[in-house]
Amino acid sequence: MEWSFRHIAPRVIVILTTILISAFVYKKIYWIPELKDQGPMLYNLLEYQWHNDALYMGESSNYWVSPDDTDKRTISDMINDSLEGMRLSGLQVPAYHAGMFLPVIKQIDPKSRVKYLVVTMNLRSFDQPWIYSTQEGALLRTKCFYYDYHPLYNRLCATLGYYDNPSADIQDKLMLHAFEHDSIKVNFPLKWYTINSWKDHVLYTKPDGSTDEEKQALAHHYVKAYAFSIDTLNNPRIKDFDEIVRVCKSKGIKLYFNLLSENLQWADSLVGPDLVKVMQYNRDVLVRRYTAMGATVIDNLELVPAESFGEKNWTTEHYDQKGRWLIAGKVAGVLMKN
Amino acid sequence: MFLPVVFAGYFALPHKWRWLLLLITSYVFYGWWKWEFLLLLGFSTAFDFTSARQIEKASSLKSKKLWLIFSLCINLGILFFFKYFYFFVGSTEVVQRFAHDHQSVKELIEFLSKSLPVGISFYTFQSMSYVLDVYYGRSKAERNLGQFAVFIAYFPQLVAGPIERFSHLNEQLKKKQTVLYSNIQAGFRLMLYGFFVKMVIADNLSYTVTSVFDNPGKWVYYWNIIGVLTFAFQIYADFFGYSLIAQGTAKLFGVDLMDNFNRPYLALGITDFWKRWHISLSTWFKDYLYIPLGGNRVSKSRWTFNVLLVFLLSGLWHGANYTFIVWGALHGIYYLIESFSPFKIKSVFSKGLLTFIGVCFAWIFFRAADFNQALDVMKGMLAQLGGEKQLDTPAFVFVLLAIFGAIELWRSNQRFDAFCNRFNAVGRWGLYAFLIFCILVLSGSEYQAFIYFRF
Repeated sequence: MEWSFRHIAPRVIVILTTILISAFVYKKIYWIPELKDQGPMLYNLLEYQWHNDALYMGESSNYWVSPDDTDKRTISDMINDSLEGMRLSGLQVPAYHAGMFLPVIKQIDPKSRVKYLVVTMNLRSFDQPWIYSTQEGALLRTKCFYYDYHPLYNRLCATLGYYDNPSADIQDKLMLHAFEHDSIKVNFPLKWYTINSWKDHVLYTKPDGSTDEEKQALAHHYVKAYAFSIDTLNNPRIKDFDEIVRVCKSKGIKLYFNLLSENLQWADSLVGPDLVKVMQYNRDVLVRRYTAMGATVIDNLELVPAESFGEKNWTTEHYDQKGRWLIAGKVAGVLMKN
Repeated sequence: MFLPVVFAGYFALPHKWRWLLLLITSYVFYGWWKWEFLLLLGFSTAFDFTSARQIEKASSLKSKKLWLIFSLCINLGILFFFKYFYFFVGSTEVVQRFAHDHQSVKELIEFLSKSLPVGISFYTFQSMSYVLDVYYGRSKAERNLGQFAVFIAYFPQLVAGPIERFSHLNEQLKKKQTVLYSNIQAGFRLMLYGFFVKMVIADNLSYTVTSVFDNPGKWVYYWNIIGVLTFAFQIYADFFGYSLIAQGTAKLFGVDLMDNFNRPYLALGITDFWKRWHISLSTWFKDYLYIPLGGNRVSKSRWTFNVLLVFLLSGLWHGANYTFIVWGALHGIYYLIESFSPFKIKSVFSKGLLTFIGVCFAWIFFRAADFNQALDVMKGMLAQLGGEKQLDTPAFVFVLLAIFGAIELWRSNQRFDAFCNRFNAVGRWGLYAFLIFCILVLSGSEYQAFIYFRF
């Protein structure tokens, strides 16, 4: 009796009905408010895609402002103000990279107004410290909310920890391993071919013979951030950017990559011209690859002068108003041409 | 997928091979997290198996005692090395300086500072209780190493208890079980309620607790008080939820694990509280430490010492931090005050309230990362340190907490699976549907590991 179909079937039906009702109620009532906190980029996309011809996807580079700036507009707002007959809005969340942009782009409704998409391409997002960042676990959790499944399923993935959540220890170990072993493969000779060997030869001493800790630490940051070559077969960002190109093509969206400016002048003065050549080499790899795939790469790598970089003790893509004007102007120019 | 596969495999296999499946799956379950620590689990198992056999075989009391001491030293030594060595020795300045010049020592210290084998306190205590039971003649030594290994590593309760006794669990594991509808029904009921308590209550409270404890100086006094009260319910819901899930999982296989909680916040005194909170641990300390030390059949001063020692060690059991020792000491002091106080409170409400306040005060030390944080929380409760009045805890969290409280009061002393039988089919399934809905829609959106996994 207890195992009969008549006994079990109604119970299964009640459970399935409860799950269906839960899924319906969650999507209708709870999903959007929760998305605002847990998946802000998709939350904004769901609204912006119906009012904008173009979207700008970025991270903190879009909105960072210097305390001295009189113009506090974001890069995307500056672009929007320069465009005629077209409306653009920015979607930005700090520390996001191509792997986070991709699932959001997949959610752009083909019936929406969006015809142009500008995606930030940050050279440092290809490097080992970013790939093996300890923030990756938190980002991957947020990514659950961007999956193209039912929102309740996405929520359960985040709640139950059903996502890769690499520990900080493991990430650090992988990064240090990469510093030691990942070879810099470029088509010109270098003195050192790994980050550690390069770093070990970047030394700064004060006139009294002691180590200039501050300057040396900054120089080492530059080596760790830029002394790499993009492995187009294995670098996860390449896979994500490739997929972004494919998704945009399938949705009929014209795609622009905004290759952000880096502080090449400081890279040169702190580490030397070889590091600049490596950065330019990586830039060329990206421009060639994505131009060939049909995207427009807006090359701003060397556009912003050193004095416009916001932070002087770190490697970032935070620009003052002049830097943001320069980038916005160039992006707007390219968008208007097309 | 793990549970359905093990369940199907278990009942598909002939009885004589089931223990092997349980052993393999339990080791896979444990090794999934860090396979290296399987060696430690395996060693502890093999060592205690051998010790118990030797104790049973020993012809003289002296050699029995020697084997017992040897076994206890190894068990406690392993526990000390992996859980306490870094805190008490490795983090000291002398050792740090030594490690600075010796790479292998440095690596070992770093390893110990980061790698606590999950569940080590639970399975070590379970294993020790077996050896002690054999020594006292309460249990016969197991003849089959594999079956003993299943008792130690039984996956539903391996990582966070309940700490089972050999005589209670081993017989059930050996019994030929059949697929019974009543077991599956009870198992699912317990698991469903366990998931509700953990994911909906504990995980939703975590935000408030973390916000307050991370920055007590930011909030107005009442948020600090709410933060502490919230932690009292968070830790209860977290651990009670785990225990229910463990009980429910074991029940599917026909095994009854012991109850670990009995509505502890309804306790009418600290003695009563410890009969209701983490029962498997408190009875362990009572049976294997307090009573061998003389119980209450000793002088008052000796008894006072025994009580304080038991509570200090139970605090230390939770983790290598002075805050846990203070937590244990506070409970010891409460216990002594309750025993020695000439004033007896008659009002049930006052007794319950006083006990609850005392327990909550001790929780401050349990939750705080260090003394300074505990002091900051206490200061924040008493004085207006910060002005922030708005903590974004959604109101529904407190509504859910009230519903949880109502269920706990309503079920009285009945376990949840038996409690469900009070309702007719419509009421029962209405309750299930409500719990499923809450788990799916209203659970905390952040993944929170079980708090007791770190012990």
